[in-house]
Amino acid sequence: MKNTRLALVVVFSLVLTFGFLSAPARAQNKKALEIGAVAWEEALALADLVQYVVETEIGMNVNITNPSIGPAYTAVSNQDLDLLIESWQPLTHAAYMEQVAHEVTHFGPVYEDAKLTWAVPTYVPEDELNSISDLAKPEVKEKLNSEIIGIDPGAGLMQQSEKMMEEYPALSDYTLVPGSGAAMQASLKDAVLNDEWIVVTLWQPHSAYGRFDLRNLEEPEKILGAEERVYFIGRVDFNEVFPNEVSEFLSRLHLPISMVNDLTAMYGEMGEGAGAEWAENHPEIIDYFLNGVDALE
Amino acid sequence: MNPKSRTVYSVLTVFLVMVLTLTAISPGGTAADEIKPIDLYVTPESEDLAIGDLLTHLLEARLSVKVSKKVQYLGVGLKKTARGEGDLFVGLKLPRPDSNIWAKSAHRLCDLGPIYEDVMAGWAVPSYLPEEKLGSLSDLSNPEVRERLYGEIIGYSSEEGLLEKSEAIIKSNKGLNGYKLVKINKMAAISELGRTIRNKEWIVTTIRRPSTPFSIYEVRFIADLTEEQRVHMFGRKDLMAKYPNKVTEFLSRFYLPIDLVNELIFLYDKDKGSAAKKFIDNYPDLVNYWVEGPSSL
Repeated sequence: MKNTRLALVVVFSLVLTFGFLSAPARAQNKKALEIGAVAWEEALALADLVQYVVETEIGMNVNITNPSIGPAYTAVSNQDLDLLIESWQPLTHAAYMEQVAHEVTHFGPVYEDAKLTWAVPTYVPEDELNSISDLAKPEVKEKLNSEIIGIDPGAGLMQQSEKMMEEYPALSDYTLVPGSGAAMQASLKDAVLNDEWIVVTLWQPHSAYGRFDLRNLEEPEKILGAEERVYFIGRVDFNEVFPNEVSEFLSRLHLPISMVNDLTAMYGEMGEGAGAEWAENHPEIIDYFLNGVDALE
Repeated sequence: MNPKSRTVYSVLTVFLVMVLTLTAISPGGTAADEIKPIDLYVTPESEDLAIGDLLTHLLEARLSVKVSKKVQYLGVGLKKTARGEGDLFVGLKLPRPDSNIWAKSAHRLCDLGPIYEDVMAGWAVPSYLPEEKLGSLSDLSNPEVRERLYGEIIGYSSEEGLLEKSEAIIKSNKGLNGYKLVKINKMAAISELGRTIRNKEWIVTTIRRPSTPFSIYEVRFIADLTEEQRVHMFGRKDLMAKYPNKVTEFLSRFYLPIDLVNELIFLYDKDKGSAAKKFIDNYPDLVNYWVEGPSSL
């Protein structure tokens, strides 16, 4: 009886000791990185890469949610979200950036040379449909059911596309059909399988350009803009909340668009896990992003 | 004039016209291929001047872009860059929660991300002072510590904000009774620190990071007087449309760990003219990564 009690006391003290010892260590890593990745394919692919690197190399937990773009900007400026992936500038998200640019953390561009597009499959003959103005032709209108296939309503691409609907007389009989990135891709796939005509609102980089033969429509008024640059945006106190390793990794993270295309295509094929695969294929790049000059000299 | 000489005369005239025409055309022709010069603004802080020189050197020697560098204070520099009168601005300290000018210009600029982080100001001591005796502000109230410091806090007079904050801390902190702030100029402070360190004596000094002492001596902070900040480079909003990708991608990749900024300032304080070149010689792999991207890794 006495022995049992003694054993219990010993066990209890051990539990107390280790409980106390381990508590501070756990507390340090308690805050997980909350990423809001908008459900666009390249954004999901990049978030998958960030999650892999931060979890395996820095040892922090990462949670990914998929908010719409408007609420994502609100959440990151309210510090409810730690990192938004992705912010398109200067045109696509101008309305959002005007509100929050001064109360978020900027990490610099992640990639450049992105752009918004309206695209058609290449089997749609170029001499019949090559420019927005061709959409006015009655036979073109009929083949397209007077529809332009859009994505999620709050997206900058949709805002610019709505502007196009107002500005181009050729589009006066058309409807811009809202949906989501995934729904747009499903419609595109469907159309291509059946050799049907379709116009989708799209952007580069996007794996659809690798999966299907697509052609961008000429857009003379440049309402879709020219070259865009793409960012991750952090809560304003990001550097206080997270260790320097994380902010330095995000500051160094910059990819040529060809690499974003590869990563996105991999994500299109395999989904989650593409980030890990890409990182394992490019150890020297990840090493520099994490360790900076120490990885080089 | 005989007919023969008239022919010679007309041939000469035609030749002259051709030469004139070609000369008139060719500057236009080459100008289209040439990259427009960059108007670079830098703040008068020595680290920004040193970084401005490094950027200028690399842009001109490695990317064939002419740079005209001007010293510009933050407010004017931000305004002019937002208006597109200047192309590039180094360096803006962030976060900047209460700044009107930042709130007004943030969304009208092309953020190129932090160029260095871990910026801080406070009171520091040489690292050889035992941390258990002098590890924080409260240790200064220990009579033994006060005696070894002769009741002096050494302050750089060039850092006005830092001196005012130091005065306020001495006044408001009972434990600091008997201390006074000794104001000396920056060069005197650096040599005083050097003399003290050579003799392994005790000293507390106001200091900013980045700065020369951090690159030549082992020092550590015992009190932070500012929040940790990061320094950004910004461009005019249409920077990426105005310059080719090889230039903008170089600017996006340009990023220094704080230790290298300390070293660059040290080189710059020693000899302004050779600092950039020496730095480039010391870190060829880092510089190659900035210029060439992941293919150099």
